[in-house]
Amino acid sequence: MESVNKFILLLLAPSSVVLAACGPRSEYFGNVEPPAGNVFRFTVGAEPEYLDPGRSTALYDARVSVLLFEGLTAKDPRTLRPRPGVAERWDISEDGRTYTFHIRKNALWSDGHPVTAHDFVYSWTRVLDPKTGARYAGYLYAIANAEAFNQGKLKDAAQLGFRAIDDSTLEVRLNAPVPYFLYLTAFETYCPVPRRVLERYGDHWTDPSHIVTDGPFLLREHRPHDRLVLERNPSYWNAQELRIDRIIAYVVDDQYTATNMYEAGMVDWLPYGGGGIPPDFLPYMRGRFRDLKTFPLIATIYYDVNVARPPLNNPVVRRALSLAIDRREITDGLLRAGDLPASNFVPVGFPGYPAPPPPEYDPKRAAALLAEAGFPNGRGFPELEIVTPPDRRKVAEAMQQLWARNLNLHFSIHSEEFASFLKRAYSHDFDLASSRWIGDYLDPTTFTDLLESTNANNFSGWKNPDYDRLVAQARLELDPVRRLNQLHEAETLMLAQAPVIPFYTMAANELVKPYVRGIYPATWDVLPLNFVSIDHQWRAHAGQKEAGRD
Amino acid sequence: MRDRRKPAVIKFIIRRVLLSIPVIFMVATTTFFIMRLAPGGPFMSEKAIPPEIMANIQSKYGLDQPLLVQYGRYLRNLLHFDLGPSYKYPERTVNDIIIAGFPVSLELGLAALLFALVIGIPAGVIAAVNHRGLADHLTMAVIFFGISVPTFVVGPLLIFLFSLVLYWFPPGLWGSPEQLVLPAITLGLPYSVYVARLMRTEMVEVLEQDYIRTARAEGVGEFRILWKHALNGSLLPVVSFLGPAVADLVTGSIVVEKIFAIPGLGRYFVDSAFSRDYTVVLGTVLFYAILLILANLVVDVAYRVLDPRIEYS
Repeated sequence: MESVNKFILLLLAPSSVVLAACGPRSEYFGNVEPPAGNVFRFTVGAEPEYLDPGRSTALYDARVSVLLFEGLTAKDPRTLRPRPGVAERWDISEDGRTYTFHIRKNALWSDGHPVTAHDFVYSWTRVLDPKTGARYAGYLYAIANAEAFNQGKLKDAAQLGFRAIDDSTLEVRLNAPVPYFLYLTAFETYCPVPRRVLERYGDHWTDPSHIVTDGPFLLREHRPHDRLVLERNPSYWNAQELRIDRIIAYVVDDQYTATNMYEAGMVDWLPYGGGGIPPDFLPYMRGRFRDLKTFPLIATIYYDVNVARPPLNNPVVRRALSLAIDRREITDGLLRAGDLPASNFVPVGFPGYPAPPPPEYDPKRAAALLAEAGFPNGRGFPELEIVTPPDRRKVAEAMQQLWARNLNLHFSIHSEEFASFLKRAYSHDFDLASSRWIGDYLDPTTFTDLLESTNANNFSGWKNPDYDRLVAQARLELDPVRRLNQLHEAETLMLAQAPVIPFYTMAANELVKPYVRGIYPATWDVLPLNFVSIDHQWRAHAGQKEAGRD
Repeated sequence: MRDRRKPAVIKFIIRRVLLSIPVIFMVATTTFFIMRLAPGGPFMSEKAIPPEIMANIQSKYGLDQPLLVQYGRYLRNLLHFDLGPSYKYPERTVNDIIIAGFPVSLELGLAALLFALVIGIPAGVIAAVNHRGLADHLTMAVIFFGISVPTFVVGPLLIFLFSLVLYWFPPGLWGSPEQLVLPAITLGLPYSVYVARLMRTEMVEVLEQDYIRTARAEGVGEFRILWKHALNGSLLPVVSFLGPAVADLVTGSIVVEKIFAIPGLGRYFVDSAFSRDYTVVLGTVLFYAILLILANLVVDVAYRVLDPRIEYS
C-alpha cells in the first residue's frame, strides 16, 4: 500500500497546488459549505475494534466510546480535565487512598434504568476478571487488589478495593495515593457497562439493536468500515449541554481519502488520527489554510537503544549519539509538520512539571565523547542497525546521515511492517528501535513509568536501581511539588544515561471547518463533543468575531 | 443427443465439486500454517500488555494451545461453516464480516462490469466498422492508455477532477448511487478496454464472413447488418469472458476499495494480514477460493452448453 500511496501523492500533491492556483484563492482548504441540518460529521480513522469501553484500547475506539459512555468523572470538553460525570461529587480521604463517589440520581441508562454504584462494581470486576481478557485492565491496577485479581493470584472478587455502600455511593480504595485518579475514572476502561445487556447478548451486546449506554449520545447505526451514526441522548443527565442533534463518524483509515473527503466538504472535522493528513501535504498546507490546526501532543518520538549490545552498553557512546543529532533539522527541515524538537523524554504540557531545556546539539562534544569511548572519528565502531516501521523510515534516513556526518558512524536501516517491528522491539532484537509513546493521562508518570526496570515497554532493557527508587518514592509522595521534582530528578538521571534518545514531541495536525464551534485542541486524549455545534451563518459571524478553537 | 447431455452435465458438476474439496482443504491448511509463520500476533500493540493479561487473552481464544490442536479445532468449526470470531474486531464473527462485506464488493464488481460492457462493446464495434480508419486508431490509442494506466492512478485522477474540482461525485464511502460512479469506472476501465479489444477482433473477422457479404449484396442496411447479424456472431468471446471477469472484478477490487474507503470484503483481505487477524485471513482466503472455484465451474459448464463440441471429461 505504501507504494500505492506514493503514487497517489505524486498525482495529488501537484493537483492541489494547481487547484489553489487556478480557483479563487481560499483561506480554507476545500469546500466550506456547512452541512444541511444540525449534524456534525468527522472521520474516526480505522474501524473501532471495540465499542465495549471496558475492552477498548485504540484511539479510534476511544473517539466513539467517549460519545457513548460516561464514567464517574467526565472529560471537560474544553480542557479534558476531569469534571463531575455520573458522580456528582466525591470525597477523598486524608491519605489520598480512599475515594467515595456519590452518584447522581438522574444518571440513567438509555433503557431507563438508573446508573448505580453496583453497575461500577460489576463493570470493574468484569474488566479485571482474567476471563474477560481486557487489554487495558492494567489501568485499574491503582485499585487495591486489582492486580492480584487480574493475574489470577486472588480469586475472591469481594476483596477488590471497591464496594457499593448503597445504590448511589461507591467506595474505592487505592494501593497508593494516585494524584491523577480522577483522570482515570473518566477513562473508558472505568466506564460502566449494562450488566443485563451483556449477560443477554455476550460479545454482540454493542450491536446497535442491543446496546445500552449512559453517555451523551446514542448509537443509531453502525456500518462496519463505513460509518457510525449517533444521536443526542435525551435522557442523558446533562442533555441540555448538548448542541448537536446528530453525529456521523466515518471510518476512513486512508490519509488521502480522509483528506479528500474533508476537501470535498463531506466531513467537518479531520481529527488527529482520524485517517490523518498525509505528512507530505503538511509543508504545503501550513501557513496557507486557516482551518489547519497544529498543536503539540503529549507524545514523544525516540529511539530505544539496546543497552545489552556493545558498544551501545556504554552510556558514553549513547550520549554521543544523542548529542550528534540536529533535531531541528529533522522537525523543521525534513518533516515540517509542526513537531517540536526535544531531547527530553517527558514532553511539555504537564502542569507543574519543570519545562524542558532547549534541544541539545553539540557535534564537537559528541565526537569527543565517542573518542573517549574508544572510537576516535568512528574508527572501530561496528555497523549497527536501525529498526523502524515504514512510516518513520524518513527520520531514520536523516539520522543515518547525521551520524555519518558528525561522528563518521555507519548505520543500516531495516524497515519492517508494524507487527514485525513490534515483535522485534518486544524481544529486544535490535540495536536501535524507532519508538513512539503517546501519554495516556495528564501526569508525567505516563512517561516516567516507561523506563522502570519492570515495565514491558522498556524496550531498551535499561535497568537502574536509583531510577526505580525515585519513581517508586514519587508514587507514595503526597506533596504534589515534591512528587513532580522526584520525577524530574529521575528523568534527568535517565537522560544522562541515554537508554532512549528522544527526537521530538509529536504535533497533531487537524482540519476543522470554519463553521464548526466547540472543538478544542486535545493534547493528550480524545475530545468529548458535548460543546460542538455548526454555525450556519458563519460567514456573517466571521466578520464580527474570531470564534472556533482559539 | 439431448438425453445423453443432461446427465453428463450433472456428472461433470458433481465431479468438479468433489475435486474442489481437497483443493479447499489444501488452501485452508496452507493459509493456516503460513499465517502463523509471520512474526507478531493479533494482540500485539504499541503499548505493552502485562504478560498475565496477554495470557488471559490468548487462553480466551485458545491461542495458547498447541498449533495442531488449534488447527484441528479450526477444521472442525469449518465443517459447521463457523469461521470463528475476528481477533481484531471481537464483537463480530468472520461470518458477519463476510456477510456484510461481500454484497458491497459484489455490487461494486457488477457495476464495474456493466460499465465495462456499456463502454467496451460499442467502442469495439466502432473500431471494427472503421477498421484501420481514424476512429479505429483513436479507439485503439485509448485502449492502450486504459490498459497501461493502473487503477491507483485512474482513481485519484477521477477524484481530483470530479470530486475536488467539479464537486460532482463524492470522493469516497458507500451507500448512495453517486458514490458508486467513480469506483465503478475506476475498477471497470481496464475491463472495458479488454471487452473493446475482444469485440473489435471478433467483429472484424465476422464482418468478412460470407453471410455478411451475402446480406450486403442483398441490400440489407448497414445498421441492420451490424445489429442483427454481426453483433450476435461477435459476442461469444465476450460472453465467455464474463465468467472469469465477474470473479476477477469481485475479488480484485482491493485497491479501489482502499482508495475510495469502501466497506467491501477486499480491504479485510489486506488489512487482516497486517493485523495478524488469523481467522479473518483464513475466512476471506477460503471464501475467495470457493468463489473462484465456483466461477470457473460456471464458465466451464457454460462453454460446454454453448459449444457442444467440447467433451465433458
